[in-house]
Amino acid sequence: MFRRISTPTDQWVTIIFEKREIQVPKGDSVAAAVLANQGEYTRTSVVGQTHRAPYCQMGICFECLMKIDGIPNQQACLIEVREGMKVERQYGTRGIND
Amino acid sequence: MTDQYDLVIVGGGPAGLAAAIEADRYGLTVIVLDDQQRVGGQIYRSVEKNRHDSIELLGDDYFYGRTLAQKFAATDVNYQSRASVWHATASGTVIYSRKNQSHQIEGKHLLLATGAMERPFPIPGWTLPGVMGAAAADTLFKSSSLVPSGKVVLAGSGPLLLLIAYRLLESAVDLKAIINTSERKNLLTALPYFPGALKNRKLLTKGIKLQWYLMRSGVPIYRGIDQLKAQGTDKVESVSFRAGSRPQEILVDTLLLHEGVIPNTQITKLIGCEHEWDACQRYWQPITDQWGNSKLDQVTVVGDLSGISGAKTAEMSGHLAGLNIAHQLGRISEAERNWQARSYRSVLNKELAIRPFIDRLYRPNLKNIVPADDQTIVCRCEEVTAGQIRSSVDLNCVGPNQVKTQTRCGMGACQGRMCGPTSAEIVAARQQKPIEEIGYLHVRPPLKPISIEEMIGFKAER
Amino acid sequence: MDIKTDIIVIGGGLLGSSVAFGLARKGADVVLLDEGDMAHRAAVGNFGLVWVQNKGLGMHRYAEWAREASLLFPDFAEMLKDEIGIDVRYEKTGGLIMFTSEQAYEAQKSTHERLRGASEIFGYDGKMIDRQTAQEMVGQLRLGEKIIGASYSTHDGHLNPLLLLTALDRGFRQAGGNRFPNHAAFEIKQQDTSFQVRTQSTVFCAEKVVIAAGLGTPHLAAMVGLKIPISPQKGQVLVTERVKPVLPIAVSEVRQTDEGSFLLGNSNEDTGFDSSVTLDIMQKILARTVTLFPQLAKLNVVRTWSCLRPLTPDHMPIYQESVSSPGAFVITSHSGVSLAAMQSTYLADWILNGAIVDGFENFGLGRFHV
Repeated sequence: MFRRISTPTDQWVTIIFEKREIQVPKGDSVAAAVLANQGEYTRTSVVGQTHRAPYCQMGICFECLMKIDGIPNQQACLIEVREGMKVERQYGTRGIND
Repeated sequence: MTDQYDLVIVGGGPAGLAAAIEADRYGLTVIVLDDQQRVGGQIYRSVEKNRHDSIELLGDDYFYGRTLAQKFAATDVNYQSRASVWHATASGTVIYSRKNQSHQIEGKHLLLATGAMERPFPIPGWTLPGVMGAAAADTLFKSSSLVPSGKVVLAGSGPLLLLIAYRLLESAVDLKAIINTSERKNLLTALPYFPGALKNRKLLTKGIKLQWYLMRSGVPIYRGIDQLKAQGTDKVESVSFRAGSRPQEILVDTLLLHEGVIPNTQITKLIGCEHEWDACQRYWQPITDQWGNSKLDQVTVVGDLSGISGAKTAEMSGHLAGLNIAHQLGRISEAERNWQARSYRSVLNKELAIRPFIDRLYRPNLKNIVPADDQTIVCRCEEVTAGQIRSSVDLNCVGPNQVKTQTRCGMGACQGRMCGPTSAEIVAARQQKPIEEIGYLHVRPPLKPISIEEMIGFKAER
Repeated sequence: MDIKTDIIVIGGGLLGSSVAFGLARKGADVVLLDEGDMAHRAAVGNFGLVWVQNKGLGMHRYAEWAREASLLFPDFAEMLKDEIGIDVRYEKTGGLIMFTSEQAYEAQKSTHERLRGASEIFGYDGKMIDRQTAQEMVGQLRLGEKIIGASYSTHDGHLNPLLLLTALDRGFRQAGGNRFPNHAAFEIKQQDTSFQVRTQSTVFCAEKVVIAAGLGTPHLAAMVGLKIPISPQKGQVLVTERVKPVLPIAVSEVRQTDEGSFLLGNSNEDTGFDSSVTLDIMQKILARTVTLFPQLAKLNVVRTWSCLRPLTPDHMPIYQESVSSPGAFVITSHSGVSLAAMQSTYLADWILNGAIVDGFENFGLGRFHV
């Protein structure tokens, strides 16, 4: 749960997070966009299927793995949002055709 | 034909940038591989694009990074953002992935500047959404002007904690409590080094001011606590602990944890650098000389990666390394190198003078490094608990590599980054042996997960 | 410090652990000596196949040995689960070896005929199947276009080799055995009828000593008058991220583990004691993986490792008691997984009681003096 204390930019993009269209400032990482929009969790773990959310924001913890534009296992904290980007959570272990 | 460079730099923080600026000055061909989207590393994260309304919150120290970024932009250096190095050898071969394509390049010299990471601070429930590193929350602040809404508790120790607490309070965050996990006796052990700290009056004053600010803020500060736990079902709902003999429970929406930072040594271990154990701050750091030379001829290590010393030190070490590499590659004489090094060396020494004091004042609390509660998840990726690791030690696992084969701790996506340090500490504590004897997790390529098709798809040349 | 025991086993890999386990279960007082955290350990670097196909070409007795090993394995795994409490995830799924070359396919056909002829007692079921049948066996995963057919055997299967090592170790302790990690043995001396084995801190004494030290065996075996020909052969392996189960059968070069990740392998190199992973071999293995199963191309490689197989000249086990120093035994094999059941029973019996099965002398050093 995060809120913005100022407007970091006047350029905003629309992304689709879990089928929901949200407006996000250009320059936000996907992880920030998810946390700023009540996303709460980015995936469920592969072993116990528990909810996980970004922990380190710098590419070390791998908790922010999400499916971005159809490609799974993307580190959302290292990727900046783009207009029309499709962002989905990953649930547990992937299937061979995911 | 593989791309060749005089100098390949891994890392786009102050150390990497300064080294690039210096090397460029002497006409070296340089490439910087940065896994982040923009320059600045973590300390100057998003500094170029930042148009924060409240400049005071971020401070002059932060915005200095913009000057550094501008100097870098003015060079001829090849900058590759979102470039993730997944293999590197001591002879100068580097393979990196960018936009799902891998590339192999060769450098006559390698400079590793991958900086630091927050020390893993495992407590029961730390994998719950809503629990994150305090520096991670600070990154969200810098890059996206985001602060945690709802109730917040900050727990841990370290100089960064003071700064983060300040920023949170100034942003009207509902900070319910600060749990200071550092031991009171630290001040006593640090005091003999105080004279050194006086050489850096600016930083010392900053620290004292922040302490004073926090004391006057009215936020409850707890010390000497035990059994810290994050509780909740699908996200953190409360944090509990024992203060003296009294159990406490505070409702929270966000719990920020921080036990200092440690060098991010994945690449130095992969490449084969020798490491030494810093007994005070409890981390492995690559062995380097005053120019950043590692024990490997073509490999230099600078910045926080070579030992935690802050942004200014990182920058100076980058400049010094750049000078030395320029000299090693025949661009300047030794005398010229030494002459140019003087001003950098003097700033560096001043910055380093405070380090012995700070390192002792913020000695990590072993209670927070070796989780007492057996249920605590140590390996987040594979969900291996402290209890399982201790059992494997009792079953004769003598180090983190054997623990890995017995428990799977270290086999997940993060490749041991978040659990390796804790695993080794648990083994050392259980066996009552010094951690230098225990060792660390063996690191092999790829340094981050890479798809099969990407690994096949590029031309590897010998 | 001196420690006395009945039998000292040097080497805590799959051979040492399974034999020590067997000996302890039979009531012997056993000490197991093992090295440190970063030792060469083929036991934790292998692929996890419990395999019969193609074993024993050129040695009748070994073909039988391998075949019997696979017959015993299901009960062995069951015993480990019931008595020791560890499920090694053994699955006798059958095994496939894939072929892209007609020539190799035909050569494999005659290999099967020869092995069938060699396995009189336990029988041998190995046959060639066409592409369509192979596709049916691998289920959902699409076979690459270059695959023309496969070699199939019902005897083959796979397990989790790390769990096997853990199970053997726990079983050993439960049976009263004593394991000493960080105790690399550097000397064996004979003293009257007993042996003294020295590590840095301790001297162990016993009437019998078993050398099962993998690549460390030749050096130690020389001390008891045995010249054991073992040389290192490197194998590199890659592991992918976890995937929902989709490959129901063990393929010699690609298998899906019990937690879902794919193990990709099969390489052989002579690089001495260099056990580093190398890009060229990794790419070769991956190219082969994609030839077999194109859909795997999208998966992430998460880990790689390499391991040094302790290889004998004919790739078959050596089980030999010293002639000059009776009571000292050498056991070596690079198939420590597949032969685990045999190692913990027959070899333990041989070491403890001198019990020898038919044709056991075939595994001795005698076969190398031609």
